[in-house]
Amino acid sequence: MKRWSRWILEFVVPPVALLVLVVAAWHAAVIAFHVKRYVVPLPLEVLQAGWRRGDVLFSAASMTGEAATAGFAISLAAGFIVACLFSQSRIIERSIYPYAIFLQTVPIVAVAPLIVGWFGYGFQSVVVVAFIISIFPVITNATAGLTSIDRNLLELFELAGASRWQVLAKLRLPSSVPHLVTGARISAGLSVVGAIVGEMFAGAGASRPGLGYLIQQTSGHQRTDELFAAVLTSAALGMMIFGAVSAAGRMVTLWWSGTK
Amino acid sequence: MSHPENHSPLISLDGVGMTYRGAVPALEGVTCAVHEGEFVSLVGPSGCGKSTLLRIVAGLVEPTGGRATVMDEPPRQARRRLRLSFVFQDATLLPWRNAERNVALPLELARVSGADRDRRSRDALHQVGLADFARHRPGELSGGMRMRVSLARALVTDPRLILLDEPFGALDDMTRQTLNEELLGLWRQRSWTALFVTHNISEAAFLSTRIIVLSARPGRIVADVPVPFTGTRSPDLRSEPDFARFVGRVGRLLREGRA
Repeated sequence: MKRWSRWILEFVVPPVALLVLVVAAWHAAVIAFHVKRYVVPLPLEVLQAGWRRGDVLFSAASMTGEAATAGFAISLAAGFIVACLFSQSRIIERSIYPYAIFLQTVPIVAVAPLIVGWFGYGFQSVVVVAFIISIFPVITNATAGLTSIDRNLLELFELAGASRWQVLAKLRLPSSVPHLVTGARISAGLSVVGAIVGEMFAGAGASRPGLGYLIQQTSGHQRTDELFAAVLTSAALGMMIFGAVSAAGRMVTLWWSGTK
Repeated sequence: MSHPENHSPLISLDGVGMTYRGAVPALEGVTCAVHEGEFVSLVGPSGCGKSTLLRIVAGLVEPTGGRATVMDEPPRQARRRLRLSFVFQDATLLPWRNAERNVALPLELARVSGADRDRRSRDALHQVGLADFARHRPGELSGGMRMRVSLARALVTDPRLILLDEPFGALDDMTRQTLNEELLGLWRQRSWTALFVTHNISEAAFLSTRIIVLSARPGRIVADVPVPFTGTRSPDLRSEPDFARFVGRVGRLLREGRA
């Protein structure tokens, strides 16, 4: 009980206090400087818009969540396979790595129209964008985990006459778990960003609107209060997915290290 | 244990040298033989190539000069016939496996079947006094216990040759002495040959049948000293005057080699 109250005091009170301050300052600034409501709405108006459009926002968030989760899952699987290939041969790593960097550095808004051209308007293209944005951290972290193995452990396996496959399955893969967890956490956050960006380009064809599409729609119609509500919902969705993956990662790491 | 001179040695080094690329020579002209059943310690100042010599015998690195053979074969080939174990300075355990599964690893890699593997792993853990800790992960064990698990893993394949690279260097003195006594007991029980690297002369004197003293870089053999203590070596041996005199003598040899 005491531990809980302490935890609340240390980790819940400071951010909540800051939130209250920021909201108050926001409200005061809008009133004091006579800011037009379609430029910056009042905090209460945003809350009202969120309440009014609650069902739409919820449906959009679940749509975006689905796309992000799908993109994240594909990133995790594909990134891991690529990292396994990298760990097996330096030549493969050297030949593929520049293209992985290309995926990382190319502005997604520049290739988005191309993706829409290939995959059409709708869910598929959104997932592809989420995937492209979120795969890189999985590749780099998993590769680091699979290749940065204690030299003595590698020698131990060599002396025991282990095959390449045994080294991968019994040493490299399990060794990479903490790195993989780190990669997954970063990737999960990015996949939400990717899904929202994807929806701005390709969301129109989806069965129901996602947050990205909603944001674009509302901004086009000067419904700033609804826009703010959609942006805040996006942030909440990102935090939820990041938090869920972090928690799962924590459990996996604890189990892996044997401290639980 | 006695060794007839006509019996061919288990390990034979003939003018072995090692120069890493672009560096000063690490080893130079090392010639010696180790016979079956011996417990030979390699002592020398740090950086004298003791560990390199061990890696050459294990076939992990090729010497750049001279010839190293194990059972009259290049080490890498001999490794397949001869069961060889290597104990590293760190316990080098897999954190995601419990003690028993860590010990079972070499058998698993050699595709020894399940029931046999489990029995032998449990036996090896029992030998090092960790039968009750079979389900514990390395993270839950002390440094000394982790090193015991590492020893059990070396013993589980019933090896003919065990190479030990300063295995107790990171442990406190009490734990080191206890493990020395246990290692000696294990060596007596079974008939394996040991090549043991250390920079602790007292440890070498307590454990070995022979001590090879290496000079500072590049490592050369400056002395090959048989250890005079026969019979059972009890922990009390360490406080006997003869033991102190012998340790002093080896220490002098080591200092001369450093000069």
